[in-house]
Amino acid sequence: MRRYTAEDEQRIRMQARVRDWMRAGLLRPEQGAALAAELRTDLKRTNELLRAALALFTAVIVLAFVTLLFVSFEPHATSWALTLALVAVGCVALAEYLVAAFGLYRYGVEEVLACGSVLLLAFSVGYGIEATGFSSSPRAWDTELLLVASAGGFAVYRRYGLVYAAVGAMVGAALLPFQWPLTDAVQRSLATVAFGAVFAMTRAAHRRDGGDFPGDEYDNLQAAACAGLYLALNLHVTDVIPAAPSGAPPVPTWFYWSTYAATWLIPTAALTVAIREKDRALLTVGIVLALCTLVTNKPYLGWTRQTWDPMLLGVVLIGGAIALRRWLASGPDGQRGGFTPARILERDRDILSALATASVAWHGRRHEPPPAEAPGSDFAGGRSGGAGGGAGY
Amino acid sequence: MTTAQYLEAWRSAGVITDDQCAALSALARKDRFSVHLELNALLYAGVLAFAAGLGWTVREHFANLGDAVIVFALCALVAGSLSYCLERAAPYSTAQVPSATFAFDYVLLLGCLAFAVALWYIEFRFQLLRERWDSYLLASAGLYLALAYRFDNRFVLSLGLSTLAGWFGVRFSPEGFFTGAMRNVALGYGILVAAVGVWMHRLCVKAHFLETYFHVAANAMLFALASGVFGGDSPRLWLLGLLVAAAAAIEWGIHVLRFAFVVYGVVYAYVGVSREVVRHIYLPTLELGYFVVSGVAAVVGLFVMSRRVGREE
Repeated sequence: MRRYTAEDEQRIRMQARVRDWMRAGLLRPEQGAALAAELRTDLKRTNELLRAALALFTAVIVLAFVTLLFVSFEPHATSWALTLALVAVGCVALAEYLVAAFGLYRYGVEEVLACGSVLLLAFSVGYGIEATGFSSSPRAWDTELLLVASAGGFAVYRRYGLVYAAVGAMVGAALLPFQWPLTDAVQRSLATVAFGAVFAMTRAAHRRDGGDFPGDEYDNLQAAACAGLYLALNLHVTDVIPAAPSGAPPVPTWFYWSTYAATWLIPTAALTVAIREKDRALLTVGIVLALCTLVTNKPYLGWTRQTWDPMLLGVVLIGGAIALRRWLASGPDGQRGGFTPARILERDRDILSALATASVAWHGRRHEPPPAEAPGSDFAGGRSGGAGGGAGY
Repeated sequence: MTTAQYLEAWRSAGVITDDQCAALSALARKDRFSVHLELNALLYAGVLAFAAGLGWTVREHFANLGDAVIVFALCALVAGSLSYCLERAAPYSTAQVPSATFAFDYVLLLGCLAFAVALWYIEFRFQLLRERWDSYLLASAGLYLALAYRFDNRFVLSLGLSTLAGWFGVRFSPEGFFTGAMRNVALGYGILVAAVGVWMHRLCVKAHFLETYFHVAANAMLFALASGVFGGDSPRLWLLGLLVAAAAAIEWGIHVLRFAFVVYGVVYAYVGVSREVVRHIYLPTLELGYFVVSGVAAVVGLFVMSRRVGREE
């Protein structure tokens, strides 16, 4: 089923490790070069940014081509269904050809063609069902779309090993209950079951295969399923997203408080497992989920948010990071239980440099001028001021 | 083969030494597991959260807290941060200097963000400069850039560059960029940032900052030029400028193997050229046909280039 052999997949992962080890000074350059030559495969890969650009332009081609066909043909569901199905087949065939002829691996082009074919197929089936008159309600349309996209995403993952396609399939399957006429609690429970099932399966597979291929893929999927599980259960998660609807959906009280408990239990369990197994993907997800829990705790309890809440969160994060770093560094050989705060790989430095450069984007929002009319200053004779900004309010 | 099997095979073949095999096996088995990145991320998130809460609290509760308390607290925070950095910093060097302590970079960033809140508050309450309030931006940008160079801090460098952009009047929003005045300002800002970056690089003063300068300058200039193609008085002139700038970005990116600049050049140039071509096409089918053909050309071009210089294998 897999388009690439397990040996090639493992070699590619080893190439990345050798590169990391060489940059960290754990291997000499000549050793790295010798090992890279030994690990060479026939597969062609490119830089991540060029991969993204190639994916972008491939998406432009597919989108423009499909739209071109749409404006050229009569607007009829049957012809649209057939056209989309043909384009979907064409995309898969082209992806297969590019992999076979050029040995493309994570090159952007074949990825977009494969994933695009899934979406095209989903819309094709939707129009096909509409044309047969089987069902034309928007809810049935969405259900069918999610079903086909989910199955297709899984197939793409199985064929090309694209983990994000599997994540998309998982999310699609979990969104299915939200298309059905069920209560919020039941919808969320079913989504939780879907994410939970994926988590259980991928966790078992990861424990079986370890950190080497394909265990690393299951590791990422396990972390994604854990995040999905949490997001399905946290009723206040949209409160932290600006412009998103805030407030919990109408659910029974017992369900509300169960989900509150879950928002604490899931990050705790994720962090516990991640620390025990030194699982980086789950550790990252566990940290992010724990932060989400801290941020949504007040809305859950119905408490008023205060302006100093972010400051308290900041103090907790800063204090926690410094204390943890000191505790780890004070252990024998600067580590405790194998955890070290020291940087081992240069990749960490690259990520922090990229983060620092990218921070221009969010610091740019800090330069708004102060309001023109300011309340009077208490340095200027009295604490009561204009504009309603007196000391008493 | 697993990682352990590969390492053992390489050790047996004499490609790596026993010590190297042991060290690498320990890493592969996660006997030694670095949480350096996670700790830094927590610290950075903590500083941003604290600074955001500080600004929000000052804005909302100044009347209850009083000016003296707020100004004193903010000044104490800034002074404390700076004295921490000055006490622990290594002597100034024009070369790259590692952080003195784990929290060093973030303490300086916190001090700078608190300084920004303090300036905002002083102008908000006392209105010393009124319509010339943006002088604060210029002064604080100068301070941040000086601190970034003194303490070798890229976070503060980025803060300084974004504050300088604020003084120029550049806002990173599409609405702003598509007006004439903002376009020229952004272009000027981009040219200045690139020039300063090159100048400092030539002087060998913190040469590793060059890439940060170029990222900011490239986006500001290319965005401004592309917006000129969309809404400028002489679109073809703007397009010409865009193509020249994009070519320079691509050439430099290929030269130093920094593919982000190649992507900037290709994407911005594609957007500009497409806008100019589509302006003269009146049939939707031809317009879509253009995107198919030009998309294929872009993919083929990028593919050929990636095979020559962007190989990962």
